[in-house]
Amino acid sequence: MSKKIEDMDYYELLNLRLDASPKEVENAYLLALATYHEEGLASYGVLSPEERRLILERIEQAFLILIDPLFRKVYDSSIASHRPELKQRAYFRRSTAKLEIEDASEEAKFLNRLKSLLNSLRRRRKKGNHKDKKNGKDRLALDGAHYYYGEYLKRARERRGLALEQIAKDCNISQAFLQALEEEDYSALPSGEELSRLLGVYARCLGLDSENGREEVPSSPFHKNLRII
Amino acid sequence: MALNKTIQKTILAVGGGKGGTGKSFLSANLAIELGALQGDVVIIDADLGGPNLHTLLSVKDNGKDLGSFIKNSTSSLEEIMTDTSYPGLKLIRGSENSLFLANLNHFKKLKLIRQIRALPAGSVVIDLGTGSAYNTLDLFIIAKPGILVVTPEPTAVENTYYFLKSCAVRILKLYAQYYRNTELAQKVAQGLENNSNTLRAFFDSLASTDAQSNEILLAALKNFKPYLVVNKTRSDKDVLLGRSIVDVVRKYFLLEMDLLGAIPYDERVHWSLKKFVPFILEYPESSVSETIKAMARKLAPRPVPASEKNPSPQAV
Repeated sequence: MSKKIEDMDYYELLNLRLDASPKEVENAYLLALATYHEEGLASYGVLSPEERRLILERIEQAFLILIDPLFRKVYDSSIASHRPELKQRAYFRRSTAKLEIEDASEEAKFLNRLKSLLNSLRRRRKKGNHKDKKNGKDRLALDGAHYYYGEYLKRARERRGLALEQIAKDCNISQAFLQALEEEDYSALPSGEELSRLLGVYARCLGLDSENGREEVPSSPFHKNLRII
Repeated sequence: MALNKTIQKTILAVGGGKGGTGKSFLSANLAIELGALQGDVVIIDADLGGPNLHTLLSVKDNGKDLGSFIKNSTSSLEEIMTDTSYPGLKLIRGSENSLFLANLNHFKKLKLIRQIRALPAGSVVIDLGTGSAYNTLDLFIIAKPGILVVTPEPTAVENTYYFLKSCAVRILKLYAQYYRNTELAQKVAQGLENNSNTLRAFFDSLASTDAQSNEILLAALKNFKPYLVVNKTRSDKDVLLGRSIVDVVRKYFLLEMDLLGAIPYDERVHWSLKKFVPFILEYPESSVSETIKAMARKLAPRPVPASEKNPSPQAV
């Protein structure tokens, strides 16, 4: 039985080994884009517009998941049942056994949220500069500069049982700003220094950092040392 | 020669839909290199559009060619082999009659295939030339492996896919015929021959209506594993095209194809053709020649491991 494109896992889709390094993921993504984008010579005259739309969408998704260490871990565990080579790994540290159980039961919910987050990212990306499309490296750098992890902040807040309204008052930060932060709505956010400062204030408020401000708040979903505490 | 009996014969067929991609160039140079490596190589000129390997290899007419084999004036393929001036390489000339392959009927084709398999050689290289006629496809399909040559141009890429799809359709129909399953043959004809579907689209729709046929036909394609060569590459992008095509073929044609190599563009190829000197001998150090040599090493039949471990006294 041939696997449908949408049934291929992200590794199969990008022709990657399960232990592919981030660099390999990036290269495979670039090659896949070059292969399947509208003017790609290799897919010339082969794909219907619908087939092309589908595979490009899958390629984007695959990249966004596999390039991020945390997303990739969660994803790996979700496909482990048909990829026995993938050893089930715990996502969180052993010392936080309680959290581990809680979060595991939330896995489906989390994956759904992840999906909607990715969809919004992709929409934003499509609106963006077309020139960047072919150069994922530049794009990554560009995005990395202003990405942070809204989902992470939201979970951190919810785990502390704090309503948005409450914490806005406590920290003396506008509620609209916090909402935009959690939803990663860039249009409603200040840029550069101001954003960094506000992030720092908010992080201290949530008790996410100890001394050095933003360090512990991942600045991007591509952050290497992402940890859930 | 005792060693040869332990070695599996390889039959290589160089094809691809479009003319001018360098099939004869690759066949000739690959055969020369294989001949030098192995010492027992036969190259067959089966170019429908007009044979020219004898010119490329500067072999004089000896009055015997594939045409005389087809016309039954020679009974064995071995008789029409001609020596070339290159070590270890013999040529079977193409027919000047351009309708030769078109006129090859079913039984003569089977005889030809049988005799190709029986040739006293370690490797047989078949230069197929342009086109996707049934007889061309059949010679490509029996080869293990077939080698598809493509250049980085939309027309050549398009023809490559057309050629591959034609091969797949041919395999599926032969398979259905072999099992006398006319219903299956009809499905293939309707689903693939008469429209521009990809194989994936065909198989996906077949899977939903007739899962059993889907399995059977997919299995039929398993043994067809052609190689791809990208010729006349001018940039890294052109080189990557090979990997892209392999990926598209795997995903949308459901065929396993391997990349054999990418040959860089070299202006001197043109001049060597004009001088009737095989490129690989005139410019052995060029990157074109290096690439072809690497391909030959990959394609050369491997001796059985035992003889590698225990070399004969002469070899030491």
